[in-house]
Amino acid sequence: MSTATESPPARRSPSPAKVLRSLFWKLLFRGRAAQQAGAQKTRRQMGLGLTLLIYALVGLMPAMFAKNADLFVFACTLHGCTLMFASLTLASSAGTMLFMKEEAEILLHRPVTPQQMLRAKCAVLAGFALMLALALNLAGFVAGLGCKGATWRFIPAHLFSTALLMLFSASSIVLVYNACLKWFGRERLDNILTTLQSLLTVVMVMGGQIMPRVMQLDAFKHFDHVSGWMLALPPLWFGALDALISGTTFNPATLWLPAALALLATALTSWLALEKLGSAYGQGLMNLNESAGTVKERTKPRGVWLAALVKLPPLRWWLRDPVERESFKLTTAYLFRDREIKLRLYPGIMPMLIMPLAMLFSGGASQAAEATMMMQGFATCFLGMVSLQAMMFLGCSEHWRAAAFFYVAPLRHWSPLFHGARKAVLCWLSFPVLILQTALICGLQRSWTPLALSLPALLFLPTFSLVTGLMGQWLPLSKPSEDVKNTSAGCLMMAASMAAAGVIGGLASWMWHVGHFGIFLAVEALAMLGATVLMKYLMRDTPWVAQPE
Amino acid sequence: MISIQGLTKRFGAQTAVDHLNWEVPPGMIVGLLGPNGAGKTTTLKMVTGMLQPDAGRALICGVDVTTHPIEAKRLLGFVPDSGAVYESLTGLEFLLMIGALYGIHEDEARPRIRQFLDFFELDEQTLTTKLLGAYSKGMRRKVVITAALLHNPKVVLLDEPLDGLDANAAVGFKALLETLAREGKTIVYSSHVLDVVERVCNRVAIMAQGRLLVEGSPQELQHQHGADTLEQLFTQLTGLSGLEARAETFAKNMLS
Repeated sequence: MSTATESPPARRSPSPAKVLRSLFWKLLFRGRAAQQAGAQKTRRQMGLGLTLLIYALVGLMPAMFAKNADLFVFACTLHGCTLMFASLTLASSAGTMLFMKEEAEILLHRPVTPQQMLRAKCAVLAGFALMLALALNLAGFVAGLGCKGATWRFIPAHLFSTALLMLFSASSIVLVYNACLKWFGRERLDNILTTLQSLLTVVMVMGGQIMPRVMQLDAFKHFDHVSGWMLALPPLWFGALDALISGTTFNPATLWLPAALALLATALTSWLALEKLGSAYGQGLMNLNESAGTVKERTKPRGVWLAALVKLPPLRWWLRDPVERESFKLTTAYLFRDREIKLRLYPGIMPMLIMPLAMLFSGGASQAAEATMMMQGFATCFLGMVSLQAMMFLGCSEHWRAAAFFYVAPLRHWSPLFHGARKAVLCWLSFPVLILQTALICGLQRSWTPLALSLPALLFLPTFSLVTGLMGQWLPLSKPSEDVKNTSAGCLMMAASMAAAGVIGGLASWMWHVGHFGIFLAVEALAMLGATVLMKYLMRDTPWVAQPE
Repeated sequence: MISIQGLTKRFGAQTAVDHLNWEVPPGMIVGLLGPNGAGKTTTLKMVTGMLQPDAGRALICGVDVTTHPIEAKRLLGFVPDSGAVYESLTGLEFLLMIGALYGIHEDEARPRIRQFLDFFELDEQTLTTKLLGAYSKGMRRKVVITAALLHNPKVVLLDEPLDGLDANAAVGFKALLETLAREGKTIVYSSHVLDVVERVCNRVAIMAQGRLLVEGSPQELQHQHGADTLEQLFTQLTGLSGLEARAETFAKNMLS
């Protein structure tokens, strides 16, 4: 300390904005709490390389539209794909960067303003999105030169418009999150963010299904000017920029308005996100960390309904073991209350729920009943994965240190804790999803048949939920959040479960078709009973392991 | 020095800090005491500019934290009780980043960091190779303290700074605080550990329900209120009298 002086530093240090940008890039690529520096860094970099490669491969799809297409139409297609894939990937990961819970305690008392933090984060998010976008557009840059009316200027023009589109996306995402942070209290914010991220996942999956159909619309096939509802589509704004700079067969007069919209919308969202609402960011960060928020104070005791529910049949019969019952209550509380679990779990399982539904509905009412029946069989494959995925997420939490209580408690085995959590997943996720899916299919088909076809899933879901326990000792919320990863054994289990569920679903549909559904149900019930007994027996042999370091 | 004038903070219907007036002169180590929910941490967060007060103001060496936050923040160092750090940075990366935020160039920051390393007996290799997520609680606390003192602040605010430090490090840190106070720095030390506060601090301030109840040297206050120890004074002022009798009754009931 003695050599430290209060005089200004002799050499000029980097500006806070630059320091913050460098910090957030590091955090983005390394993850938040890696345990081993070198190894983690390498894995992340490999992960990024793989992601960019996948994006580049996905980019080949729109590039195939380039031949004989007008440059404006092709640029719109590229921007549409970029907006859907890069921007939505960005949206799903932005929450973690914008709302790090402890950040207020690390940075807000330092000589930096919340606006500087927000601008740095937005710049990093936009830069990350641009990397993804460039990978996605790699093939498009080359293919675009073969479009009608294209000149060499397409490459710099498309580079500029893509950068602008990513800035627009990053600003829009920051604006939405920042508006939520400003206008909603901490507790409501948690729910809103979860809903927002889940909805974005739904949009992404549905978009993948819907986009090829939209491209076949007459409005796009015979598209010679931009007007009306088309002006509401951001890809057209940025496509118009490309066309105006590099050339098109379209009348340039019709492109000035959408091109101006691209510039105006980007400027407006950036100003709103970073300047207008930016000042509220610091207060919002503090709210995340405060025990007393700005929301109306809760007066009713929590968990009363849950405590009452587990004392009533059928849960009272199902949860006879007191340890199992408490594990059920703990898991339920985290499923409904914990921000981190909700943000990871619901967007994580959403594609599994949406994918089969999107496939089921894509054929509409005109689809033949037999085909729908087969589709329902396929949909059950995904149901088998819901409980596995949920159990994988519920094994980890930022409160993992609290699992010390499990290790010091005089428990003979970990299985009651596992069964309690498993039953909570069945009760609040797997069965409700099955009911929802069946109700939707019944409504679409105006028939009760799907109700009967859901019975095989009702029989296999409890058995499938045991699979996680075969992978070794499982305790609820007992590992650091960063440990959530698909290990090869876990992926294998998931793939096997999905295949088994698919076989059961397919067989059920076929048996219904040939008139032996009753026999099939009886055989399935016996098989599931046998599998349950076997898995529980195998689990008993997995020893109770002391708390790892 | 710190000057707090009518500082108020409300969370909904609850008033966490209620028109607080408090002056902390330079060269002093002042202990900030109070039961849970007394408003200590909220006060510190307003003084550091982390929270906006609903009324009143806090001045750091005459600089208003609300109107000139950057200038005020340059003058202070804060050790939050959470000990939060960016866990995917190494200790060295974290400290260099914090130094840069205060305008300290890397060439200048490195020797300063080395001084802290030596003082806290931190392993340099650990600091450069391991990510903070893998540090023990004590090591992480040492890094947080280093981050608070690296820019040689005039005012130091400490919220439970010894939490996680081993006995040797704690003794060394207490000696460091005394040296810093002698050099003219203003130190506020918020803690629940009364005997440490009694040993380290020249003065103590006791808060309850968002208000400052008393302020003065421990001996002076004990004498004024007829208490034998600081602990006795604390329980007397914060309304928690008869605790020993209550504990005895509770233990008997629990064992019966």
